[in-house]
Parts: sequence; structure tokens; C-alpha cells
Amino acid sequence: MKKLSLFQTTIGKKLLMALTGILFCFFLLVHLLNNLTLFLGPDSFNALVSSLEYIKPLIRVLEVLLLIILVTHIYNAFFLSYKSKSSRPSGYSSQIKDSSTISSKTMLISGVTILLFLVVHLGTFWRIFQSVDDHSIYYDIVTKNNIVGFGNPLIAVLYMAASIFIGMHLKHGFESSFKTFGISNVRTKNIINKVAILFWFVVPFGFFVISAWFGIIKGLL
Amino acid sequence: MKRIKLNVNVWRQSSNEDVGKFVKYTLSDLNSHMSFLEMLDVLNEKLIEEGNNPISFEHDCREGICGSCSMMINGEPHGPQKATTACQLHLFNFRDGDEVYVEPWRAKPFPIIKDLVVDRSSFDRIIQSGGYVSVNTGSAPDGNAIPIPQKDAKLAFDAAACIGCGACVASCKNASASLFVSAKIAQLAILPQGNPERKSRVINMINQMEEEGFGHCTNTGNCEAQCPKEISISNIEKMNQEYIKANL
Ligand code: HEM
Ligand code: FES
Repeated sequence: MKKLSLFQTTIGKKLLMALTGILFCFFLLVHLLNNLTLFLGPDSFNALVSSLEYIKPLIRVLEVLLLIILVTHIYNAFFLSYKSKSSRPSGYSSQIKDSSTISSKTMLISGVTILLFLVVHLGTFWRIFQSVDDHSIYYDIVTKNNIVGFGNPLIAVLYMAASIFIGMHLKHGFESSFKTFGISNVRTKNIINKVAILFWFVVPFGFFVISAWFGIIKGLL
Repeated sequence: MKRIKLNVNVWRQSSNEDVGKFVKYTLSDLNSHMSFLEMLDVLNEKLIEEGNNPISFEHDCREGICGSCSMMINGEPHGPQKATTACQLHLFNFRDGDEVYVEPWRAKPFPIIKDLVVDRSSFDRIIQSGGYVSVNTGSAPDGNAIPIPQKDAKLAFDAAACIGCGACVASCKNASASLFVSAKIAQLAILPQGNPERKSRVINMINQMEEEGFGHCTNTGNCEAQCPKEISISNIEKMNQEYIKANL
């Protein structure tokens, strides 16, 4: 029988998902730290965004890397989900009891929702930021624009919803990837448990607060 | 001793080609101390007396150690009682008048043979591909000739408690065999006796697992919750670790 190489097996493919998932988690952390400068006012945020202009080549490289990471993650997500469907072509006829967590059972749903959000997000903020030459208006695009920015309450709601789905995805995903890496040491697991809170709660909560503040609360005050 | 009535809906399917369906049987005056399989025996006697085809189900030891009494009872492998096989499940776990649904494991690598019986030889082929150790023939080795730390002995013993019933596959949303395969890999990887084939074992067994068409692991943990022998999902972490190391 032909021996499958590491990445031909479901374990290897899952390993790629775990690796890319964790890398993306760190990107989200950096992204959030950037965005938090919105709270320091227009000057700070605009200065930060313009400073990225000076390292444009590096940013482009990182963007390509992120794209590779995302495509690898999504491709394997669909591949494995499809394969597991074919592992049970005819399902059960009675009601099945599954005591595992909601977040773990809905990884594909939360993932696809994140993907849809990403399409909107990149199609608006990212695309517009590429073509803006006036470095003093980034802050206004994000916080005031009433079509693509938080001036539009629907956009704010979309971003808040996306934060919740990212939180759900990472509630299971972050710790799960260390299981995929095969880390079985109890002491390490306890540390991962704690670090996981930063990624599944603190980071998504930060994004949630930004969209809630600029999109909804600020307008009500 | 209580006597109860049950409405038992059993999956009837004459062969793999047939489309099966639930058939409802009402059984009254059942001794609540009966095991679930004894209830099926009573039902089968009745069916045979009436000139009908009895229900096919697999069983052997009836004491929870062989793993053959595989069936989904009310949506859970081996039924509602935790850490218990179907043969050890007693009717006092049900209430008088309960509606009970019994159906076979559902997974492509476990094709249905008849009614509740599925072909689990895919598990046998996984074991054949590497779930063994090389031993010298001759007289039995001395006990404790190879010292093994108590912690390792316990971990290996816990993994070795797997009876290969297939409940993990049956309960997994992906029909993954990871819990079974990982228990069989871990029990040998932890012990010095398993060392000579350590690398080839994990590669061959995972290769076979893939060939059989089982799904992947999402680490949801339903297998661990439903396992009649409470095999820990940490064996899957061990398997992943062994597999990654073997590929480096
Ligand atoms: C914000 C971006 C994302 C991050 C940070 C992320 C992170 C993760 C992590 C860490 C895992 C756990 C891997 C493991 O258990 O080993 C995971 C699993 C998963 N992700 Fe994502 N993900 C993201 C986007 C997506 C998208 C866009 C999709 C789908 C279209 C997706 C689908 C999935 C699926 C289906 C799983 C579960 C795979 C399985 O069955 O075990 N993810 N993700
Ligand atoms: S018949 Fe052997 S475990 Fe149930």
C-alpha cells in the first residue's frame, strides 16, 4: 500500500489549519493594538496609518503571507469538512446527543461567517485605504463614513457580530490547535488555557468595543 | 422488582443494499433488572414465535469487555448510562412507557450487514497494520524484568482499556476513529516494549486509518464523553505528537 506523506493525511492537514490559525491569532492581536489608537484621537490614528506607508514593501510582503495563511486555513477547512461528510454518507435517523461545546460543533459556521465578514472588510476599509492620498482622513473614514464606516450603524452591527463569531471560533480553536500540535503536558496545557482567554475573549472583545463605541454608543451620548 | 413497558423502535435493514427503517415493538411486563440485550432476546423470542425475522445484533461476552454489542440507543452509543456498554445497561435506566430508539453505528468504514450489525473489520485492519509489539518466542518473560514508572504503567493501562467497540466513531460528528487509533498507539508508545516499532507503528496505523475512510478529529471531545471505557482524549494528543515526531 502507498504510504501517505504527512500533509496527505487528515492529521497533517489539520496541523496546517492549526498552524495557520495560530499565526492569524497573532495578526489579530497586532491589528487590535493598532486599532486601539482610534481611542487616542484622529492625530494618533492617522499618524500610525501613515507611518505604515513608509514600510510599504514590508506591509505588502506581510499581506501576501496573510493571504497564504488564510487560503491554507480555508482550503483545508473545506477539504476536511467535506471529507468528514463523506465518512458518514447516511446519517442517523434518531436524535443524536452530542455533549461537546457549541463552539466546537460550529467551527465551520463561525469560520464561514468570518470569511463573509472578511470579504466586506477588505472590500471596503482595506481597498479604500489603498487609494487615499490625504493622510488626515483615515480616522474619519473609519469612524464617520456613513456607508462603509461606523457612521453606518449596520456596519457597526456587522463588525460587532463578526467579533462574536471570531470569539466563538477561537474559544474552541485556540486550545484545539495545541491538541493538534500534540502538546499533552499538563503544566503546558494549564498555561495555554490562560493564554487562550487573551485570544478568544480579550482580542475579540477589543474589536467589539471599538465598533460599539464609534458606531453606536458615541452617537447616543 | 419493577416491571416496565417499553416502546422499542428498532432499525430493521435486511442488507447493506436495502433501505432500512425503524419498526416499533411494544414490550410490556419487562423485568427492570434485565440488560438491554436480554430485552432484545425477549423480543427476538417473541418475533420467532410469531414466525417473523428476529433482530440481528452483535454480542459476545455480555460483561462489558469484548466491545461487540455496538448500537446507538436513544442517540448515544451504548445508551444513556455513562461508562457502560449496551450489554451492561439495565432496563431500570428507563422509565415505564419510554420510547426507545435503537439503530446501528453510522460510518462509511462500518457498512451495515443487517439490522444493528455493522462490519467493523476496518478496526481489525488498523490493528494488523501496526498495533502489536515484537516479542521473543519462548517462555514467558519474568514479571518486572523491565522496570516501568508507575505513572507510565497507569497511562498505558488506561489506554489499553479500549475494547474497540467503535462508539467513538459512532458518536463523532466527523466519524473519526482518532480515539480508538490513538489509544492503540499510545498504549504501546508509552511502554518500552513498544519502542522498536514506535515510528513505523504510528505511520502505518494512521495510513490505514486514512485508507479506511474515517473522518478527521475536531477535538470536540464527544468521543471521550461517550466511550464506555472512558478512554481519554489526551491519547489523541499523544498520537499527534508521535505522528509529527515520526515524520520529522
Ligand atoms: C480570523 C480568522 C481565523 C482564525 C484566527 C482561525 C483560527 C482557527 C484555529 C486556531 C483553529 C483550530 C485548529 C485546530 O483545531 O487544530 C481553527 C479551526 C477551524 N477553522 Fe478557523 N480561523 C479563522 C478563519 C476561518 C475561516 C475564514 C474559516 C472557513 C471558511 C475557518 C474554518 C475553520 C474550521 C472549519 C475549523 C475546524 C477544523 C476542524 O474540523 O477541526 N476558519 N480556526
Ligand atoms: S457483549 Fe461484550 S462488551 Fe457487550
